[in-house]
Amino acid sequence: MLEGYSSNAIVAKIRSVYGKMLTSDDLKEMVSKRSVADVADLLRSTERYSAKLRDVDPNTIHRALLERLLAEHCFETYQRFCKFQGYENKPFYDFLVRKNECAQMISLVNAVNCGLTESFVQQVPGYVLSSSKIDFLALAACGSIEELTAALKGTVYYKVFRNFRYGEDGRFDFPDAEIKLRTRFYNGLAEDIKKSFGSDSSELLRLIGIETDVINIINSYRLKAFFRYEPERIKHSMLPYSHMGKKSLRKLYESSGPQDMMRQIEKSVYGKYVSTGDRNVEDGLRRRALEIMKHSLAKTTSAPVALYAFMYICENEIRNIVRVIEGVRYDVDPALIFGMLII
Amino acid sequence: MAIEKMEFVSITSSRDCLDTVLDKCCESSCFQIEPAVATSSGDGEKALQLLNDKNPYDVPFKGLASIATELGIELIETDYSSCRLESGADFTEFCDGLESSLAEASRIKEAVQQIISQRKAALIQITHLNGLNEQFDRIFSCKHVHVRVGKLPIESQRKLEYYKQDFFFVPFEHDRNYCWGMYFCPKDEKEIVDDIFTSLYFETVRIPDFVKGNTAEAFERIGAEIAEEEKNVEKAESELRSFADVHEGEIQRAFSKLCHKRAVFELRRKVGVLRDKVFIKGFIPAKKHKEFEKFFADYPGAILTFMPPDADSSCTPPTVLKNTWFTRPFAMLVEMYGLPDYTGYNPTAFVALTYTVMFGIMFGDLGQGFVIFLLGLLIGKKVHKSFGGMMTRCGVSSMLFGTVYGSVFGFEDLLDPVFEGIGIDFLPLHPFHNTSFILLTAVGIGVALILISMILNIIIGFREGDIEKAVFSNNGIAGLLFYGSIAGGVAATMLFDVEIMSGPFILLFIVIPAICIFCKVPFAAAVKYKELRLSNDEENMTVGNFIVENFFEMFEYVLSYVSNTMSFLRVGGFVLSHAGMMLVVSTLMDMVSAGAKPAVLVIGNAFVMVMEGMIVAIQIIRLEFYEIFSRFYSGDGKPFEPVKAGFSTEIE
Repeated sequence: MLEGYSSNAIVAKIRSVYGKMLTSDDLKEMVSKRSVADVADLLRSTERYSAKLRDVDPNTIHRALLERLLAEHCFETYQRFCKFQGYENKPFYDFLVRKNECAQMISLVNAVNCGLTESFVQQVPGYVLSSSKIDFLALAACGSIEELTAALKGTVYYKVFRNFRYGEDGRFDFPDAEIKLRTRFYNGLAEDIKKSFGSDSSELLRLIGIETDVINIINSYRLKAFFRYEPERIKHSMLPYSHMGKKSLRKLYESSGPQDMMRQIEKSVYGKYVSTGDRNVEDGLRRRALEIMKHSLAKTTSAPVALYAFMYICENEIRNIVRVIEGVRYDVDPALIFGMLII
Repeated sequence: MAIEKMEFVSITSSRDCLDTVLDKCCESSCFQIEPAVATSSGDGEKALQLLNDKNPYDVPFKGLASIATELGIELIETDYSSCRLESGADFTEFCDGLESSLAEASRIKEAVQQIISQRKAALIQITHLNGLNEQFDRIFSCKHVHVRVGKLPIESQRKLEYYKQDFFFVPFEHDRNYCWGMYFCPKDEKEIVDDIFTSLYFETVRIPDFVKGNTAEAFERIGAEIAEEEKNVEKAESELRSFADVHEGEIQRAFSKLCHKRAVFELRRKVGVLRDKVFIKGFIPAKKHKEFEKFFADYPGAILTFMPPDADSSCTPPTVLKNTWFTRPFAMLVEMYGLPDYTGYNPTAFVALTYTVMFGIMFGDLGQGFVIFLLGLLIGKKVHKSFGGMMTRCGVSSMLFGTVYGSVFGFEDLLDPVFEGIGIDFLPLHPFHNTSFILLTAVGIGVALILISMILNIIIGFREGDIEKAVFSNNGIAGLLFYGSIAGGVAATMLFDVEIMSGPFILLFIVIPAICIFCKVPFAAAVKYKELRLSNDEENMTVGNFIVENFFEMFEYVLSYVSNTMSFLRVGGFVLSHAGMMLVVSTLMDMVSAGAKPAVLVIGNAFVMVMEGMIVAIQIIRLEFYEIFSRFYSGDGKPFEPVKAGFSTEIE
């Protein structure tokens, strides 16, 4: 029973922080700003980011650093929640550390493969370096994928790296590596959920299924519309998790063309904000996923569900701010920027 | 006790006299100007146009306000009869004259302040380099070493170990996100190293040339420079002060006149113009007719035309409540809710009476009522007239009901001998001995007030010619019959054992009124327009929708009848709560020593008066606004705001 009460406390805490997130009006004001410095200044005046940006000079800060600081703030919020409840070392609760680790590993593989490790070092966030057990800076010194694989011996990634595919011409297959790394992340997460949570596991798995569905649908649409991939090839490029079901996804992959695919998406559970005339499928899908996450956060009493949904909403907020900053930087019409935000 | 009669006034004058006419309107303090409406018919000179001239007093207004700020003069309203300045150009010239006299002292002050702010900014930067013992000029004059001072994001500091190039970074201080320090590299590798640091978001800080020596020396030197410059600022300020002493009177007079002129000119935006004639329209209270006419009597340039208040359909007449000495303070509550329409009903008398009586019932105590009365007199004189007025009336009412309850500062039996002496045996009415009576009376008062509110609504409805409101609504005749007969039936059956709820009674006074309320829209439409209409707003309302919608509305009405009536239980509840709280005070008095008793009595009474007095006052406002006003009153009137050219230092 006490466990239940403490879960209620963290859920309430998450909801109170959720209440301080940027509103649609804040974003509306932000898109009307004339420069990145003005946006930084506005963010500094919000309750949510004022503490994080207190020492920042809005006039001199680089926009990439600003974006990095905002993302770091979200990560710190997540760490604060875990620490508050003593969840730091419990399985599943390190999901954001692992997710970031996975994203950086994909980035590192790409950088090593292209010989651009220096740019990898520049862009890897400091909070990932300090929270991960993997020494990314040491790995960035590797000159090839084989060297990287050897350096990862003894870590959980070694097995995945060993299974990376190489083409007949000996060239490294990067898309395959990306899928394998992502699959490993979601596999690990699902295993932890099944092992650790009883009744909450189905809702958590549903949220993860929704997240992967959105990734899969966006990727499959791109492969179908822009690269003319065959259904079988699309299927192999997808993550193996789904909430809408493999059969429905299979039907999507087998659609006759992008228009047909769009029609099918429109009819699916994710089709609420998608219509056949849309220029891209991404915004509508992300909007729907965000809505589901918000709904889940509003109705749940389970700490892991609330935390997972909240972090998804946080990531979306950062994506929105980044879009605003980019739009303002390149002098895009405020109405156009606002229309591109997922809210 | 009604609403003040108004008159519509149209003033016509030639364009040259406009400022004088507007001035007179302001002086009269009883004229509310209404914006003229430009006519679209007619072209060019034949159409009425609005005056949209740029206010020539804006620029000198801002200029004079900023001069006053610079001289440290606090602007206050002053008699400006001796000020000779008239036009915008005169004021601008006056400002320019002051500015040129001030120019030298201001320039010196500004320059010195700039130096001080530069030095202070440099001090902040050097603060971050605390611990650097080397001379700045020696570091920056190295021949083969390239140096940059600045701040590096903390996350980037860790990444430096990755790079193999020849450089080193010396950290001095950390804040939340940055590490302050300097990096050194050979001049030959300057470009590469600068690129690396730029890619790691290093922000370079320029150390000004005037910073010499090591950090400690630089601190000392800059500190001394700031102190020296501050003396110069002081000198410049003293010059400005003596200038201000000489010119303050002149500036105050000019500013007051400028404020007036500017505000009068601003009124031009509401004036219509046709060729060389200007038209001003507005309202005055009818009783001020002669007084207003007198203002223009010696001024033949303006022609005044007085008309009934509804003469111009584009202007809504404002409302001024007309109240007696007893009801006047309660107008504050009515204004808080919203003024009635010009043709509407002024509920102040009703509010004054019900508020005073309910306060007395809920807070009945002869002693405490007297204290409230005295406080009311004091507050009315010193702080807030209306609030004080309300307090005196409530205090008297509290004293009257306190006498009925026999309560004096919580002593419930102090008046018993008095009543015995004059032979009244049914008084005092001790609340704890008559609980049921008090609660039932409270509900009875509620029923009576709700019925009165309904009757008022019916009268207002008939006056407005709104059949639906007066006859068929839940607060109309149908509602009155429905609610009154149920309340009367229940009271007769339960209290007096009279069985009046017979079949014909229920059919006539409950069922038929209920059907009328349910079908109020079609019935009203049938009476008024002789046609069948299910909704006033929706043309395509189906019978199904009509039944569902009205079923829920009917359900809400019945619920509101019950809840509004029960809401008045609080009137009785507070009688008991007051007696209860005073019982606690007297129990506490019994528990303490004889010496402490007076202190407990005073503190206890003060506490009850402040806390309960406030709660009772708020609860009655709630009853007035929700249970009574909601039945008949809509506060959508327009307040009367006579035009004036006020003094203001605010720059928009």
